[in-house]
Amino acid sequence: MNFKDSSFKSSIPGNTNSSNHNTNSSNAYTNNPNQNNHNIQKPHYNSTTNDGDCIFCKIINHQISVRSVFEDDYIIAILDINPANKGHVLVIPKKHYTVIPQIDNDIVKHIFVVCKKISKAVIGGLKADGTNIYTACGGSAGQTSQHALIHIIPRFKDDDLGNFSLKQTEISDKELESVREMLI
Amino acid sequence: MRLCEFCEKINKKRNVLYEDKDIYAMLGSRPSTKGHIIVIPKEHYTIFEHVPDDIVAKTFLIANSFMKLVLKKLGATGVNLLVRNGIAAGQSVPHFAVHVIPRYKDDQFNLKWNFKHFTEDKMIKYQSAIKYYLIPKKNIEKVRDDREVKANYLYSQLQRSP
Repeated sequence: MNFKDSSFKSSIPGNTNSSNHNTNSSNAYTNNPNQNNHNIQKPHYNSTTNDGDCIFCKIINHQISVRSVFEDDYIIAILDINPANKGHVLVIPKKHYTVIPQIDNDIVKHIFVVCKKISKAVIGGLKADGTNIYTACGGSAGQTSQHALIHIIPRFKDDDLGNFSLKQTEISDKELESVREMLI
Repeated sequence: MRLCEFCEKINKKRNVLYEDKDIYAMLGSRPSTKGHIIVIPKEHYTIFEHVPDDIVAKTFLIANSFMKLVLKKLGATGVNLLVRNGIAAGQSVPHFAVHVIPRYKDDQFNLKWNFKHFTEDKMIKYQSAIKYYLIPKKNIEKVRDDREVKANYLYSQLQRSP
C-alpha cells in the first residue's frame, strides 16, 4: 500500500522531526539530546500524542505490556483486557487520532483490510461462528477511550451479545426521504 | 432465482445515497436511529472474508465519509460503525454490509456489553490461536526458532496438522 499522505510522515519510525512531540510525554528520551540515552533501547515506533496521557499511545510505545496478535508500521492489534467475548481484539492505529473520522484515508483502507484478516483468524483460530466489527465515535456512541480504535468481537451461537442484532424501528417513506435530502 | 434483499434494493435504487461501479450506499428502511446508513459492495458477497481487499478498502472509506457526514448534517452527537459478520453475529441479510448508525443524546439505543473475565492461561491461548493463524504458512519455519513459540502448546498442535 502506498502511503502518500504527508501528514503521516511525521509518525513514520525513525523520523523525530515531528513538531507535536511533547518533552514531558512518553517520547521524552528521543527528544532530549542532553541525556545519555545510549543504553536505552529506542522503541521501534513513536506515537505522536498531544497529551502523553493516552494509554493506547503508551501501549504503542511499548511502555505497557499487552497481548498483541498483530503489528506492522501503522497499526497494532491486541487482545482487549475487558473482553466482551473470548478473543476480543482491538485494532489500534499507531498515530494518535481521537475518533475514526479523523483518520487519513490511506490508513482507513489499511486498517480495515487488516481487520478482515484478523476477523478470518478469529473465526479460524477460535472456531468462532461470526464476528462483529464495531467502532464507537463520540461519548454518546459509547466511546470510552481517547484513542480511535476498532473492536473485533468473536461471536458464538447463543452468546449474550444480542444487542448487536440492532433494534429496528418503522419509519414512513416520507420521513426517509426527508433524511435523505438532508444527507445529499 | 430470488435475489437477496440488498441485491434487490440495488436494482430498484431505493433510498440511494451514493452509488459507483463497486459500492452502493442507502438509508436503512427499518433504521435503528434516524439516518441509519447501510454501505454495501454491489457484488454479492455473503461474509466479510469473501470480499476482496480493494472492495473492503473502498467500502470502509465510503462508510467513513458517511460517519463524517452524519455528524455534520444530521446533528448527531456520535456515530457507530458496525459489521455483523455471520448469523451468530446478528447478520440478517446474506450480503456483506457496513452499518453507519448516527447516535443522539438519550436515543434509547444500547450497544454496550458486559465485560467477561478470563484467566491468564486462557488469554495466552486465545492470543496464540489468533496470532499463529495470521502467520503465513511459508513463514512458519522461521517462527519455529522463537523460544516463546517452542514452549507453546498450540504451536505444537499446529505443527502436527498437515
